[in-house]
Amino acid sequence: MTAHTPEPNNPNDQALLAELDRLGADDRETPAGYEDRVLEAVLHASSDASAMPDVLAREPRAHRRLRFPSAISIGALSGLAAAIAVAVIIVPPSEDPTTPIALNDADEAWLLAEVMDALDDPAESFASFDALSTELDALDPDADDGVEDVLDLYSADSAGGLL
Amino acid sequence: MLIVETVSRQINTPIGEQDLAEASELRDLVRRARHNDPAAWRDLIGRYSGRVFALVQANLRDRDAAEEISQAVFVRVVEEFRKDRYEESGRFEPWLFRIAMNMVRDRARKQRTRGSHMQIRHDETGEPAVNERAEFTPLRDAISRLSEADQQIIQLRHHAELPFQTIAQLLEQPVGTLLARHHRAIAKLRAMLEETTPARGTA
Repeated sequence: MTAHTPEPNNPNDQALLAELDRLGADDRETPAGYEDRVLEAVLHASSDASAMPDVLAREPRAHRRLRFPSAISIGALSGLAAAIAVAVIIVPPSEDPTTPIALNDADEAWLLAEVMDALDDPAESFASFDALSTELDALDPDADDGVEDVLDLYSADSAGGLL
Repeated sequence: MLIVETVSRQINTPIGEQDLAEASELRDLVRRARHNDPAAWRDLIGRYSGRVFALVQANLRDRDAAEEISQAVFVRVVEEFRKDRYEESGRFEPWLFRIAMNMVRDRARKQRTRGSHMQIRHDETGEPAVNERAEFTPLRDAISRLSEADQQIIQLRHHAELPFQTIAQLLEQPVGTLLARHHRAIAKLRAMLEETTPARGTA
């Protein structure tokens, strides 16, 4: 047997399984008041967000913002290669949101890396890309939103719509 | 083959009246939660939030992040309910934990991109993150050295406490494949632990 082949009835495997169960139990010990805070968040979301579009209902991110769709265009998919052009304008939250500042190279590279990383499985991702584009197009052109919101939308869809 | 037999019993056990009653109870809970019944939400959160927390904690080893993401998971469930994107088919558990896994994956990706993923695992002294019990550190470190797929099966089974059938639904893979992967992951873990702490091999 190799080192990677468990031996039948190996007591060390049994002990390890028990230790894994204890580790899992240790990680299931949650901080005091945790369940109440989760419940509060859920009830707040279920009562407060019902009248708002999904993306816009989220808390604005503090560290960066985008304006779109006028400032973002995503497109140009060809075969297995995806060419995604993302034109973004970043608005620091402390400044006048009507005075956008161009996204610097590092931020743009980061954003593109995120999007390309989400395209790890082209077949799966491409299938949902239209849905993402539709959702982006439906957003209020005057609304601010965060990079994470775009990626959250995308990742949710790229994972099969979570369903 | 005690492990295989134990797992086999778990998989092949016929669905009994108790299972059906539990499935029916869960369906009712989910239905009521979709209609914003606070009592149903409290029950669902009581059942699952600790397991979701553990799954996130096992991945990120950061209890603050685990709480933040766990809350976000349940808020996402609210949003998915509201958008009517959940279809009741007796598969709430795999659906819930898939959301959790997606959020963990997204967070891990962002941390990788920003070059900060190691900072949440260890503090400046190189010691394990606070709130981690030292007795589990060798095991946690060994798990972190497994492949992503092997880590996944360990965490879903032992942290999220999911049956292999549910994991199979979640990952859309055959149960046999997952059993084999789990079996191999255990062997790899044992080999790694025996290598780092030789006394473990003499049990």
